[in-house]
Amino acid sequence: MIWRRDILRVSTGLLAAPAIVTAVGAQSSFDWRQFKGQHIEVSLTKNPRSDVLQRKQKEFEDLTGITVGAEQIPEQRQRPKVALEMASGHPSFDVLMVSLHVSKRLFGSAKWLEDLRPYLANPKLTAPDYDFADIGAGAVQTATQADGRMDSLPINPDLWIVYYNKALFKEHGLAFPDSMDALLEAAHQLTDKSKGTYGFGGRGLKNANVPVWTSWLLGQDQSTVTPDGKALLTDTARAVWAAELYQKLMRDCAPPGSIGFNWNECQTNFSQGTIGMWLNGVGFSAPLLDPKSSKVAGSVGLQSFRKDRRHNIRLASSMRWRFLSPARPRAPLISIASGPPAIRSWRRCRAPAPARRRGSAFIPTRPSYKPTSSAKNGWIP
Amino acid sequence: MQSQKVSAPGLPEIIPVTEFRDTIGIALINLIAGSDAAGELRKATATFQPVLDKSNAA
Repeated sequence: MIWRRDILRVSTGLLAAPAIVTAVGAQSSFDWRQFKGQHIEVSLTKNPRSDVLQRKQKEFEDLTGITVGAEQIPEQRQRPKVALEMASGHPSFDVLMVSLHVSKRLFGSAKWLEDLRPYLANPKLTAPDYDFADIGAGAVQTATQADGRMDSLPINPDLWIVYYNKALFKEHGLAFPDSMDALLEAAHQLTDKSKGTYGFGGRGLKNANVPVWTSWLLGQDQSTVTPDGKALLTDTARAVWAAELYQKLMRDCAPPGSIGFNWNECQTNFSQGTIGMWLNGVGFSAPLLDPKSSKVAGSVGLQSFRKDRRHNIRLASSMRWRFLSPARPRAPLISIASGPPAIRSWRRCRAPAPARRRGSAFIPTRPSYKPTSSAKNGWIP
Repeated sequence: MQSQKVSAPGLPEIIPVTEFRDTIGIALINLIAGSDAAGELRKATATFQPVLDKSNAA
């Protein structure tokens, strides 16, 4: 008997480019159509990666003979929706995109999702070119629950970076800061309220604002809870330092009304040239680099963190992970979109930061774009 | 890729993540309004620790 849970194992990465179909054809021993005639439903969060999946849906269907129904829902609505459906025991979907930065423990504790390790180990169900080893260790760790089950497959870590307006920096004779003190100082120098320009933009809105603070806190090598998840570490000296930095940036160097800003208001302000630096996920880069939607498309700097040597403060990016996971019990299914070809397809479609090492380089969206070339001062180019 | 090597999840791996974000989020808003950082974090921590304890006990 063939279970629908087996269907997508054979189709890893098939929603990608036509080139993969050619490659698949060469793998005569692998039966891509072993589940022909089946149907699956997929619940996606709304983002560029989901757009790619849906654009490639027909290729997947042609190759496998499996038909697909897929729906994109804004993430903040999808999270409670899928949890409610899973709790009911009768989810309307067979595969879902899970936001593990919020839902990992919930899904793990409830054991709603299938352990994928047996599927990955089965050569009849996992295509030979899937190359699981190419997925970054951090992504694998995040996909693994405390009891060792791996109940989702990584799609993308949304690494947080600092976007900066190179033209504004140049106008003020500033280089990108090499320490947190320098970052705050630069934010002050870039702020000219009479001209409506501000040194820093960040989320102020309740709930959405927390990752900004935790980004600074992670730079101190500290998380918000103890490793066992039992005790909060949110009032330590390091936490207070991070909070004070957040306070200074947001009170003195951010646009008025920032207390109500989520990422989209920050993104809009940055794209209009009124913000010097913006801390957020790399996944928000595409509109900033598009001249049709951004006044600063030609001068966007993107700076990742490593560490601040002068102050010995490690600046670790925070991540939000999106994963495709099979749901149970109706029809647990396997990832359809984390294979190498899918990652390449995302790169072409400006959906950066996939979990795979070979696909993780940020891809410029304009020929003139050149990433920062120097790693000095601890910032990663 | 280099950034991934030093990256870590920005939110705690706990069940009540939304409640965590709401509680700390209020503290951060109060900071923007001018409150004392240490005091706000102490208050938020005291507010949320029982929620976390209850979640862990469930």
